[in-house]
Amino acid sequence: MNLKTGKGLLPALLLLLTAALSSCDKVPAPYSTVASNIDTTLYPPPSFSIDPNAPRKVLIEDYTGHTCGNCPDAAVVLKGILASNPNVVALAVHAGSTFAPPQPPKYPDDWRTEVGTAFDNRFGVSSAGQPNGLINRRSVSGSPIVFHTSWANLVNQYLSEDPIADVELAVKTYFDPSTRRLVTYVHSGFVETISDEVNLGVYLVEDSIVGAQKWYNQGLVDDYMHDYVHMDMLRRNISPIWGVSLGANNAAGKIQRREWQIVVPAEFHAEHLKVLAFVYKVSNNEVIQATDVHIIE
Amino acid sequence: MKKHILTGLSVLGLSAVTYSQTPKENNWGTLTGLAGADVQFYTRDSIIGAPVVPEKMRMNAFLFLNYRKGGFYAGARMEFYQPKPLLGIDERFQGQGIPYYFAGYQYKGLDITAGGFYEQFGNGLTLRSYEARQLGFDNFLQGFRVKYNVKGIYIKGVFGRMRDFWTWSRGTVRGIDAEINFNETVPKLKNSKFRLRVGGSFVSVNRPDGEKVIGQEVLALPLNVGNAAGRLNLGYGNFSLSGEFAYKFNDPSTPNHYIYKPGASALLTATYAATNWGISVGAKRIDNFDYRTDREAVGNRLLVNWVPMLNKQHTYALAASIYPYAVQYVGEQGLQADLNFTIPRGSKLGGKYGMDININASIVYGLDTTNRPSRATVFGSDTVLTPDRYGYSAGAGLGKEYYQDFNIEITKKFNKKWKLTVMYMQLWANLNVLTVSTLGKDPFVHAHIGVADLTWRINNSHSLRIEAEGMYTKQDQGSWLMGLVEWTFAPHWSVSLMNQYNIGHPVPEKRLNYPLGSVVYNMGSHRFQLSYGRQRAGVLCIGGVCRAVPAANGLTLGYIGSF
Repeated sequence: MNLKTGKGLLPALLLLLTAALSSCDKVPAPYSTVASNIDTTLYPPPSFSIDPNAPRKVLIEDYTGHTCGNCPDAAVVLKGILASNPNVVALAVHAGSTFAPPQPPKYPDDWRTEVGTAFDNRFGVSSAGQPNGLINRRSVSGSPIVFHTSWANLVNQYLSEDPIADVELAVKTYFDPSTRRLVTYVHSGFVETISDEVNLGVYLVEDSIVGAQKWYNQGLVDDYMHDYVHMDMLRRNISPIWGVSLGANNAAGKIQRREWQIVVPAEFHAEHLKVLAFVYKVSNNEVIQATDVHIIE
Repeated sequence: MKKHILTGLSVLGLSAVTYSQTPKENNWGTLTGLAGADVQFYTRDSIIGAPVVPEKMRMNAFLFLNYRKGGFYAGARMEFYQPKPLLGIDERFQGQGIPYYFAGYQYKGLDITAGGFYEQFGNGLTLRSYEARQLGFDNFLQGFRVKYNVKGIYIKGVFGRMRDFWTWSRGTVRGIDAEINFNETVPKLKNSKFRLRVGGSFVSVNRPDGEKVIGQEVLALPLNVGNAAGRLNLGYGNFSLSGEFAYKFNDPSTPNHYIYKPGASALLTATYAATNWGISVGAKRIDNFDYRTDREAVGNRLLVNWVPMLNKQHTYALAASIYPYAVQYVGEQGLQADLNFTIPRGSKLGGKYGMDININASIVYGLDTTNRPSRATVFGSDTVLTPDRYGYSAGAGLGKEYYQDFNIEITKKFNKKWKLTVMYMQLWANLNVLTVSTLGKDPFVHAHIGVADLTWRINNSHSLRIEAEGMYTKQDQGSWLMGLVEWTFAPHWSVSLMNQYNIGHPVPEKRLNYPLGSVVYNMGSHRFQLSYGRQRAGVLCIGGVCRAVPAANGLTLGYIGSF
C-alpha cells in the first residue's frame, strides 16, 4: 500500500475521530427526576379551618373541539352561566376524534390532552356528539351527558338542592416565574360525614388561548375564526388523571391536605393559568365539590 | 415520460427536469443558472375538499446561479414564496430572499466550501442534507465544509447549522466521513474483478436545550447527540454486496416520545447483474433513528439523516400517490427483492426488440415495542407510574405490519411504432402508521392496481401515448379509474388530458371526477407548462419522505429552464 502522499493522514484521522467521539453526551439512568420534594420554607403550607357555611360549587365540563362549528354556542352559554353565578367552575375539554384533532393548515393546534381523552373515553361524551357536557358528572335519566341548552337549569337545580358544600376545598398556589415551578396545596375539609370513598383531582386550566375555531352562523368566511379566544381549557393534570384517594368514611370535621409540585411548560401563560380541583365519589363519579384559583393573584 | 405524468399529477410541485450545463469557458469564468416558477390560481371547489385560498393566486419561484472560474466557485439561490407557498408546501416557507449562497475553491484533491452546502455520508444514516422542491424539503447546512481526496482515500468534514425555513436551526451539526476505495489505493487491485470500499462517519449535533418537562418529570437532556456509522461495499465481477450499520447515542426527542435508548440501524443489499437479468435483495432494520437538529421538531423539519426506502418508488399515478410508503424513522424492518430480466431478441416472446420484465416485492413491519416497563415514583402523597425513560426493549420479533407491495411490470416494444408497458401491483397499507395520509378512516387498505401504458410513434415528430389505470379496493375511498391521452409533436409541443375517477367511493356523492388538461411547450432547455383542472388529495413521496397533497382546483403555470 502506497500512502506516501497521505502521510500523517491516518494519525490526523484518528485524532479527529477521538475528538468527534468525545462530542457526544451520555445521560445516565434514570434520565429524569420527578419534581416532588417541596421546599416548605420557601413555600409554606397555608393554614386551614373548616367553614361550615362554605358554598357548594358546581362543575360544568364542556367537551369541545376547534373544528366543531356548534361548540362556540355552548361556550357562550357557559360564559353566561359563569357571569351570573359565582358558584360555578368551568372546564373545557378538547377531546374526541372528530373535532379536536389538528387539521392543518387552518386548524394546526392540538389542544387534546392525555387527561382530557381519558375523561372523554370514560364518559363517552364526544362519541355522543359535540357540543355536549357534564354537570357534576351526575347522571340525568341514565346518562351524565347533557346538551348545553339544559346546563343552566341543572346548575340551578343542584345548587338549590343543597347550597352548602359537603366538602370544603381550599387551594393555595405558589408560582416561581424564573423556574416555572408551581406548588399547589389542596385542603379538603369535610363539612358532612361522607361514607363513600372519594377522590381528589387537581388540574391545570388556561384561559384566553387565542387560536382557530370553526363557528357556524356567524357570517364568517368558511365559518373560520382565526383568533377565537378559548377559555377554561384543560391543559394537563396536576394530580394523577383520576386524582388521589381521600379514602372512605371521612367524618365531619376531618381535614386532609395534599400537595404537588410541577414545572409549568414554557408555552403556558402563567397569568392565564388556574388550578382546578374537585372531589368526586369513586362509586358513581359524581362530583360533590369543585373550585378553581388563578396561580397568579 | 412517466416523469411528466407525475408532474402533471402533482401540479402543485415544481417540475423536476434534469438540465445539462454547457460551459462556455472564457477569461471571465463560467456562469450557469437554473430557474423555475410555478403559479397557481385556485378556484373554490368544496366538493373535492379543496382548502379555500383567500389569496387566490400563489407563486413558488427560484433562481439558482452558479459561477466557476478555475478552482474558484460561488453560487446563490433566490427563492420566492408569495403571498404564501403553493398549497401543500409548508407555509413557513412564506417569504422571499437568498437563503442559499456559497463560495469555495478546489485545489488538487482539496475542496473547501463556505456558506451553504448539501452533503451526504454513506447511505445517509448519519447525515444527508438535500433539497426536494416538490416536497418542500430543504435541509442544507450553512457553515464550512472541507473535502480531501488522495489515492482513493476520501475525507469530508462539515460544520454548520441547518436551514429552518428562513432561519437557522438552533442546533449545530459537526461531522466527518472517510472512505477508502481499495481499488484506487492499492495498485494491484486497480483492474481487479474484486472491488472493496470501506467507509465510516461520525456526526454530532449540539442542541442547546435546558431541561424538558413532561408531566411531573424533569428530563436531563444530552447536549451533544452522536451518531456513528460504518459501511462496506464488496464486489466480485457481477456480484456486489453493500451494508451499513449505524449507532445513535441517546437522543430523547418528540418523535421518539423522549426515550433514551440508543438507536441502531442496519442496511444490507446484495445485487447480481448479468447480461439479460439482474436481481437485488435488500434488508433493513431501523430502530429509533429519527435524528434532528432540534429535539422538538416533527414532520419533515430539521432532519439530519435519511433512511433509505426499501420499496419501489412507483411513478404511475394511482400507484404513486394514493398509498405510497413513508419510511418510519422511529422504527421499522423490511425486506425487498427486485428482479429484472429481458426476454432476448429473436425469441418467441422477445420478438425483434426483446421484452423487459421487472418483478418487485417488499414488506415492512414495525418493531415490537410492547416491552416497556414503567417506573414508580413516590410523588407528594401518592405513587405515580411513569413510563420507563429508557424506552422499549425491542426483541427480534415483528411489530405491527406496516406495508406490503408486490408488483410486476412488463415492457414490450413491438416495432418502431408501438410500445406497451403493463403493470400489476398489489399493496397492503396500514394507514395508522402512514399518517401523512389523511384520506379516510379505514386504517387497513388492500388494493389491486393495474396499468396499461401504450405509446404509438406516428412519425418522427408525432407520438401518442395512452395510459389506463385502475385501482380496486373495498377500503378507504374505494376504487379509482384513471385515463390519460398525451399527444407529443416534437420538438416543441405536448398536450395531455387526464381524468381520475373515484368510482368506488363509499359515499355516492363523492364518486368524483378529477379531470386535468395540460399543455407543455419545450424550447431548448426551457419548458413551459399550463395545466387546468382538479388535483385530487393524495400523498407525494420522494425517497420515502412524504407530504400530504391537498385537493385543489384551478389553473397552474409552470416554467423551468437552465442556461
